[in-house]
Amino acid sequence: MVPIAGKQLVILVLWLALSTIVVIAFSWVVSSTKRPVPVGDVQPGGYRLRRLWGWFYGTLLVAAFAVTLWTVPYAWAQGSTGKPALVVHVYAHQFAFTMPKKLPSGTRIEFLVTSLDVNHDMGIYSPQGELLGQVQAMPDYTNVFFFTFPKPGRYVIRCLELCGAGHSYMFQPLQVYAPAPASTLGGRSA
Amino acid sequence: MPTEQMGAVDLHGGDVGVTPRWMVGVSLVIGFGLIFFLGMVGGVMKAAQGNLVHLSPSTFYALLTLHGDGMISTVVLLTAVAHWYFLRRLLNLRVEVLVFAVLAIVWGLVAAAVAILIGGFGPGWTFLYPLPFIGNTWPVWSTGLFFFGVLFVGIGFAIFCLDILAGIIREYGVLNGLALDTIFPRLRRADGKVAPPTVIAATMVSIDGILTAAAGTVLVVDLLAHWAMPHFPVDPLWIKNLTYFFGHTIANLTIYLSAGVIYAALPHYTGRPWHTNRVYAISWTTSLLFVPWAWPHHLYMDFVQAPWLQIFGEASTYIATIPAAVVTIFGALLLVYRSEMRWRIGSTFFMAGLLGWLVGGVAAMIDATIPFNEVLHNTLWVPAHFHTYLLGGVFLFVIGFASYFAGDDAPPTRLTKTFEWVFFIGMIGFLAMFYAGGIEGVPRREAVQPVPGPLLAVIGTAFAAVLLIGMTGLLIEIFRRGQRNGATHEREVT
Ligand code: HEM
Ligand SMILES: [Cu+2]
Ligand SMILES: [Cu+2]
Repeated sequence: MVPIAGKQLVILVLWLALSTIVVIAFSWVVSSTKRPVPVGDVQPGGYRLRRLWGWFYGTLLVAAFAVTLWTVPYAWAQGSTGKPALVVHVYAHQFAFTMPKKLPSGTRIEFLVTSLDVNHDMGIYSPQGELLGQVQAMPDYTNVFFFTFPKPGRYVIRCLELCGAGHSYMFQPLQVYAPAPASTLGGRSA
Repeated sequence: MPTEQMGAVDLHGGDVGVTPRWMVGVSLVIGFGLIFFLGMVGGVMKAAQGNLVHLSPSTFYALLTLHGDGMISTVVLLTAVAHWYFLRRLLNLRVEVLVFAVLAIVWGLVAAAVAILIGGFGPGWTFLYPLPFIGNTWPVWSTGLFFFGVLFVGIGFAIFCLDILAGIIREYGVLNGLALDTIFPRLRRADGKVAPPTVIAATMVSIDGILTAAAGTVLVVDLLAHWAMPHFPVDPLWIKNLTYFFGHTIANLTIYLSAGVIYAALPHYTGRPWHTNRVYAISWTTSLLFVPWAWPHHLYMDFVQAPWLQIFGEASTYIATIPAAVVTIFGALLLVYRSEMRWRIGSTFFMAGLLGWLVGGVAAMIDATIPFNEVLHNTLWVPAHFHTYLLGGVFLFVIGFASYFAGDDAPPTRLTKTFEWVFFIGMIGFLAMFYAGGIEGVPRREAVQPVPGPLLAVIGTAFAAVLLIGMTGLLIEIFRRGQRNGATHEREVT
């Protein structure tokens, strides 16, 4: 099994928690039908509750939306932060990625991703098998994708878009090495 | 019965010798037959992913395309027919038009099935350009035939929407079809009649449905032109946007069609009427405006997409959930809360479907949040959430409707309860394996999955078998019970 950490852990907890609340609410409503009352008795309270729920839900959405605005992965949101990145071209094609076999960890890399035939998707899996991020590869277009490998190890690049009969076999290792000590780089990017 | 008070008058028996009741019944039988067959196909795919049976990758992807295209077309057919069943009592609709719409959809399905089963066409039901044309393992004719099939499904749906919209315009006008007269006194009719919730839902579905079908037509005509003349230029990003505008919206509209059914059918069990008020007008106008803007959430990982579309797509997806969560589902719970609910197969399935809609909707919202989409896009989380609200939502509504339609109003028996439990347990287990796969980063649409995909698929196959057994038993029981009660019920309801 792949360890559940990072975003996946947040997602799992969030979804389980919200689903549990939903199931409890439904069970409560279902069991309430054992004690029926005329509709007039529940409607005013129900409408009040609906207004509250509406405000609560709306606020929640606005908050979630605001948070995501700060965390989108796109170049226009990320491009200006950090040091000039290492630029790496990726050409996806049936059924492999033409790209370097080795890349440094801890370095902000600017991937320029495109495809030579159909749509593909470059998914980055950690040495433990966690999916860390991805970007589509589309013919005629180049997607700019920033990524920093968190630690050295043997990563896997895997295609995440159905691209033909060989799709399941479109994956390859990527060796991520610790960059040379800061001194040899002139102490610039320590 | 409350539902029968909604201005119900029986209309034409049909000039082609087809009664509305017969047409709805036949459509249900065809639809359930297809769901069963395509569900078996789904089970075989899971078994292949679990290495329990062997399929070549091209066979696997052909079956995947068949299952996806077939299931979506079938639920469009089923929910449209179910909604129509109630609408025809409220609007002046002709059964002949429904016959044409159903025939077009079925013909579209047959064309696609031939392209897939004989031709081996297999780029997935979203047939993302240029895969149908490049480096493929299927003949050129199958690509063209499949596009014609999609075109016919779109045409069938468009016919359905146009007839309903025309009926609404004749009876209420578009604005009052959305019950906007509850907000703007100027629009109010002399006789004070407002559109019931079922009609409000139909107004939204028919307008957005026509938009969707139009986009689908542009899409398929572009692709057919490219198919006939390979030099015909096609832009991959534009086509991808068009594809998801069509694919996302048509799948999504089945839920709104179902809402129309629930508005009409649930009061039959709760004994409380479902009234129109301005909240419904606001909420369905919001859906009308924002549902067509949710598609960009399928292109979050296409970083070249215009930034405003990414952001607006997320905002629209969020906004589109408000009417569902705050008005329709909350309204249904309020209708049931402390009512004298008669728990029948119909009402049980409507409630279970609402639950599936909500749970799947939460999972969908998480996926539609850009930073989460980075690790969920094209993983099994995607089939996890849409099976939750299509299989565990829309399809349950259709079963509930079938029970209502069949006049199966008797209390559940030991046998039906057993089948229900088998069905639900199978479904929950089956869905749980999808979610687990998504969290573990297993990609969707893989003939051969990375670990732990195959292990989860073995467990998923077992649950799928349980699900299919429960479903089949239950459907047969509904049919038998309906036949027993049918004679008396028909006089009452039709
Ligand atoms: C009845 C039991 C069902 C079973 C056993 C089943 C099984 C499956 C499986 C194994 C997949 C492939 C997932 C992947 O690895 O990507 C799949 C995909 C899909 N299913 Fe189902 N499914 C069922 C019901 C439904 C229903 C009721 C619907 C819709 C109403 C539906 C719509 C779809 C769609 C649209 C896809 C995506 C196809 C694609 O990726 O091109 N399924 N299903
Ligand atoms: Cu690929
Ligand atoms: Cu979608």
